[in-house]
Amino acid sequence: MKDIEKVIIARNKMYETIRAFFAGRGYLDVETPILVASPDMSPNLTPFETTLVGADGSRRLAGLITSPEFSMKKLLGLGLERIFTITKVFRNGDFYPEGPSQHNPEFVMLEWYQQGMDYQGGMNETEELVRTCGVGEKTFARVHLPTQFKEVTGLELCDATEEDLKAACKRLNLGTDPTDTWSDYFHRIVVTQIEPHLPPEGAFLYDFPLQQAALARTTPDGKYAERFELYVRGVELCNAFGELTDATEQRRRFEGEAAERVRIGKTVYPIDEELLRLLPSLRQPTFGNALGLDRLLMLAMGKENLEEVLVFPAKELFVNPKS
Amino acid sequence: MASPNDIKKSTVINLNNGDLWIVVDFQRVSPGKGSSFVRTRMRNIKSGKIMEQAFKSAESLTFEEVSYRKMQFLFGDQTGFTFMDNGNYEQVTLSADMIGDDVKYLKEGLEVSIMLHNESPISIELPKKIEYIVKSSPMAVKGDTSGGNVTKEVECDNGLKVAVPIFIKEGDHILVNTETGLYAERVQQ
Repeated sequence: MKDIEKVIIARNKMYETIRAFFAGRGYLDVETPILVASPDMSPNLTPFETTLVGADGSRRLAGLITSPEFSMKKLLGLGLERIFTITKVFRNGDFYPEGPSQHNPEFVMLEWYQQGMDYQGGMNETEELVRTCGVGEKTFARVHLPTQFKEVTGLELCDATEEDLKAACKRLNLGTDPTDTWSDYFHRIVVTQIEPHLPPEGAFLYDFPLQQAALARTTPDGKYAERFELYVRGVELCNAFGELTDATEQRRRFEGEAAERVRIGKTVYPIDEELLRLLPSLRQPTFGNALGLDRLLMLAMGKENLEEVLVFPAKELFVNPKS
Repeated sequence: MASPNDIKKSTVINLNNGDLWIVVDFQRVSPGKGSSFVRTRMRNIKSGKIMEQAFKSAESLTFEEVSYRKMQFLFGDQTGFTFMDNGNYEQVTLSADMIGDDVKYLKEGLEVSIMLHNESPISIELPKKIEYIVKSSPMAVKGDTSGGNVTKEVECDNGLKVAVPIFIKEGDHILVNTETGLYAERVQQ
């Protein structure tokens, strides 16, 4: 039995800590819409879809955000320098009616952005925030993904072809599937050979392949995307970028993602033109991070399952309703 | 054909036509950009070798049919762990690899389900909760108050160590949850 009041108090305290942390660093707490016209373009995400019905009976395709990223970047483009938000976000197609899971279809996301900060600075700030929230006893390790990948496979990640990765999976005795793509082979290796061996007390994994970060800028050598993730006790806590500010490149990536969504039969939302219009007004570098607060709370309370810190987990609402 | 999303603990997966692996643990992972996977820790039924694989949710797998037989734990020695069918007194011996971490829950007379594949034992399944007698309990401790619950560590009649509420004393009968490894409740005598 989870102690509901204890969970609620811990969540209250954590949000207070986070708000004080950002207020002390000159960040503004902003609100962003949850119901939008262009929720997400990423081919692997499935937004909850709905219809906006007008008083005149008109109907418009709408969706619930999978992250507040687009709205946050528009605020940056309008001249705000440091912003954060704590908001509910929604992801469909990731719900498992049974068994342990670190996913709930709706969850709380903390997102923050700072113009002028690079992603290495962002790593420092993320570490301070997470430790202020009571997670992490030791300094977090910083693991350069391409270096680690080379150690495991002998491959230069930025030059590796689909065939190289497939052969590496075979050498490592990792199963493959005829439908596998470059990204699938890459993830088979990362998910089994790298992630589980990160120091459990906390590690940043940084610099990802270019195709794994649609909204990130590239490292100075042009080989990788400025992206990092933080893992604590095997739990992926956040996903951060040195943000892409080139609207032409961003349009090209959105169009690529839209084509992929068509191919796999997913709804294609209109490109958010307002975002592309404002994107060039962002300064370089700009740092942005999205951190799952339910997971952070789970770690801070020393719990193993996400459901233990959710008062109303979807599993209870949809699968095992308490009569 | 089965989906990786149907993997559970103790599922037996047939890889490469005849290579049988029993699932020890699994976790669903969705990388930020890409397909979702089920990271699966498996033990080879023949060699006892442990391996970790990531199955893509969209791929299809072959699961093996298994059967169960209730048996009682007799003893463990160098040759392994021996169980007996109380109906026909037939005995089977399983290796330490086959029992894995569950070994700490075994105690003489405990009834478990022996998992069989083609009539051969491959693993055991424990009852969800097992009753133990508290053998030694530290007296007058302040208790560990981290995490809000005041607990202390006691040793059970089979050597199992478990954190319990401070009101538990020597000689008490307690139930331990074998899925979580945590104290569940005190049994009224």
